[in-house]
Amino acid sequence: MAFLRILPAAVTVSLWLAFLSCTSVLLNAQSPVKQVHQSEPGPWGNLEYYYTYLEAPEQTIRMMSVPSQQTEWKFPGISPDQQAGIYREAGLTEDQIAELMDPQRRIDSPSLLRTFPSSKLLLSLTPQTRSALYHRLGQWKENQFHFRPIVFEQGDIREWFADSGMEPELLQAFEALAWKRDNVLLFSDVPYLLSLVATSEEHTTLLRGLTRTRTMILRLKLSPESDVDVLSEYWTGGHKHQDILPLLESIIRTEGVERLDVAHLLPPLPRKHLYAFPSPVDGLQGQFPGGFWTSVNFFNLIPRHLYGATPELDQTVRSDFIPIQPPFRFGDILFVARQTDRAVMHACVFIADDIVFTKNSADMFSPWILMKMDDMLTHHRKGQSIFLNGWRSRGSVYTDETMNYSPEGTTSGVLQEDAAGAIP
Amino acid sequence: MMDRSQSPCNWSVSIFRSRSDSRNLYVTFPVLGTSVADRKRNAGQRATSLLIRSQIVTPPPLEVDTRLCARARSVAWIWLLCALPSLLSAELKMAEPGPWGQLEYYETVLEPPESHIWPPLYSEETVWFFERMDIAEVLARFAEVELPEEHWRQIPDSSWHLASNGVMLKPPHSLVGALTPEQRSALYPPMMNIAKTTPWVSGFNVEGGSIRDLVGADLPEEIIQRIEQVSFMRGDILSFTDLPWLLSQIPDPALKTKVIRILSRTTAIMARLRVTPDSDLEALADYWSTPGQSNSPLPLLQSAQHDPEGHGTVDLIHLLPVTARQYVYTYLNPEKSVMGVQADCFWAAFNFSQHEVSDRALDNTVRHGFLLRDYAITEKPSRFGDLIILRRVEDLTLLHAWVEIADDLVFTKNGSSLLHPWILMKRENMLSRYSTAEETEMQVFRPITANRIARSN
Repeated sequence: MAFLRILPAAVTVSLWLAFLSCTSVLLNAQSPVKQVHQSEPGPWGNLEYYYTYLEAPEQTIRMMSVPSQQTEWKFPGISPDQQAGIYREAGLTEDQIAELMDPQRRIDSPSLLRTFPSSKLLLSLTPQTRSALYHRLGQWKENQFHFRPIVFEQGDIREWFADSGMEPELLQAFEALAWKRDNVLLFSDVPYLLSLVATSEEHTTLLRGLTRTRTMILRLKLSPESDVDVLSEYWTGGHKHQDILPLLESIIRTEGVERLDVAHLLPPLPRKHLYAFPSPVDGLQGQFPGGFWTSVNFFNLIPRHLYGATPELDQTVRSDFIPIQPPFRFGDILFVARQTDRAVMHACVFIADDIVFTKNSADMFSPWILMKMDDMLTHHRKGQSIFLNGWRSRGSVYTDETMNYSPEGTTSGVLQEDAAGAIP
Repeated sequence: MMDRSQSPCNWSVSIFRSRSDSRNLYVTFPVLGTSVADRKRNAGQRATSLLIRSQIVTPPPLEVDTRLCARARSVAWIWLLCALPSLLSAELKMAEPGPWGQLEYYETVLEPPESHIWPPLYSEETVWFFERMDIAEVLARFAEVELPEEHWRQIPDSSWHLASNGVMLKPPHSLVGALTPEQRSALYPPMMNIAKTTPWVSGFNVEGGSIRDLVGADLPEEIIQRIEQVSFMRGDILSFTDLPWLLSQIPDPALKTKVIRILSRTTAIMARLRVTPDSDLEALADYWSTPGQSNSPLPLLQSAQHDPEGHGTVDLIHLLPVTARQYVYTYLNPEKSVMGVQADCFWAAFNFSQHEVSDRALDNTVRHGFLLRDYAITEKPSRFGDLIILRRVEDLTLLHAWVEIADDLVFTKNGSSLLHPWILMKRENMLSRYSTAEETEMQVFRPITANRIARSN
């Protein structure tokens, strides 16, 4: 009888616990548990990492050039008929095309067709149509949000913005308007998002959220079994003056410390910039550092002002580095080049396994980060076939084994001009 | 302002070990705070010291023994530079919790690279300088410390040099080697504050208080014994200045370089912030924010808080401003010297929060201007980035500057020497290097920024 008396209470408690459990799951969706990943072991040792997100500081956000909330598509150098053809090719319906070709929604000039689609039309595009059209728009630099869209490398918008303070309405809009290229999730409709924010606080939260960049906290695992000589050799990048052996031994001998943040293993300049957004001071030379500046200065204590379109950069690469084949080593420069015309689009620095140190665009809103190589490539592939070429500092002791190697084509074939001008 | 060549930032470094407990390093706040055990042991001497420095602004008090690790004989990696082998096991320590959160740290030892051992350091000529004394007073001083007459009578006349503000003496090696530890303790400390004699006259402190712990198995036993022979106590601090004499005993040039490097080792702190599910991330982000910061610490803290095991950490290097992050645990690049003037404690402190370093901070004529323009005096250090000036009361000469990090952790470069890296270290360890019988005081300066003004309003 006693059992029967307590049964209802037990059921109630069970249901209540089940409810709490569900609630807990929901809360966790807002604050995802950090997942620690293991890299492939190699001469770099055993690395582990977890993802984290960076946001630009207040003073950088205040410098953002915020567009109008009216979406605008630009079609440079084509006729209205060609424009309509692009719409059809992307899969827009005739009604949608008619609305877009309405003179009330466009300003045409001989060199540029400007179209102002309505919010209703934006939301009515199917994912396939949006992806096809935005991919086409992204081939013109004039469409800044399509040319350089937000890239959700891990493909989960809600996880991306967890803890960002972003309103649910905005998250829904992100999901509704996201598009794909090479199976990578992208977003371009920033003006539409601006139309959804009402308060200045929401406005700031949105802008800050737009600067969100995923990176990884990378740690070297050490134990008494670690071969510190091999590790030391790898992480010095082949530079004779560096010796990390004592530091590694220090970690191994310190009870309670089993991991060393890889930031400690970076040279001073990348260590300074890692996880940081550029400041206005970084642009005093007239350009902000990008991938080329970041790569050629990796081992420099004092950076050389070498940006994308300078003959000096080309000269520096040829004089201070030699082309190398995989496997790459710590500190090697990787140039990302287009297959079609072999034009170099980006450069980053190999760290270990499939991890690179990179700055993915030469502006204030792109931080210096550690990134998986595949993720880096999604930023620069843009639907094109690409390939990597490695270059190693002549200061490295590991140059002899590769001195006779000539990369695909010739050195000058890799370091040539592209449509944007001379790059290294 | 003082002449740079006489900057007290070149003073010897210091740390000490308890005689009764050789396994642990006992660090005492040398100016105001002392360990309980040390107060009992040196009550008379310490009381005098406290009386002399009664006007000093009090930093967070150290009420109990601060036991800094069973020695971490390990070395942080220095870019372009070498570090040294670890010798003993180290221990992870917890700092006092505060608005900075819960910090944990361990010690490493840094060693300058061979490229930083500049030629004058190889001098085998000992130079003593007796400031504001004449020869008769020097001889009286010798008598006072009971230096046997046969020792100083063997000094040739050519070794005595009269200067405008004192007497310079180049003693023979036989005299230097014959001094007792007590005589060194009496003669050397006043000279160690004068950097106009030999480059090594500033000497150094034997960090950890044991020569053998410092050098481990890296030097021959004979050399270790000779170092011990000429080491002396400066208060509680085991010190060493007679490098020229020591080098004169070593015929092998490579071993000389090795000896200099090993004796130049510096202990640094590596720290990380522990973030738990209970951590107030907004408060932590607020504390660890600095003017002109290039990224917000909040997302990093959030990621650490999501650690599935509930004990995520953020390495302190990620919370430092970019310039501090670039320089910490590194030695000065000789190429950065400007007409022989090199970055020192003031350069390090003034540039701590700057995105790009300014060598204007090398010019001692503008330091007061920097303080007036960019900082506001505040009562006590309480925020990350507060700049502290140590100055002599008598003439307001600036002796040292550093930046408060958290708890008793500071960011400093202890002198302009190539042998002194930028490091994080315990405040009391740093101050022990600037221990002096003269009356000194500290001033706390807080960077003036729009954000902080708005916050305080």
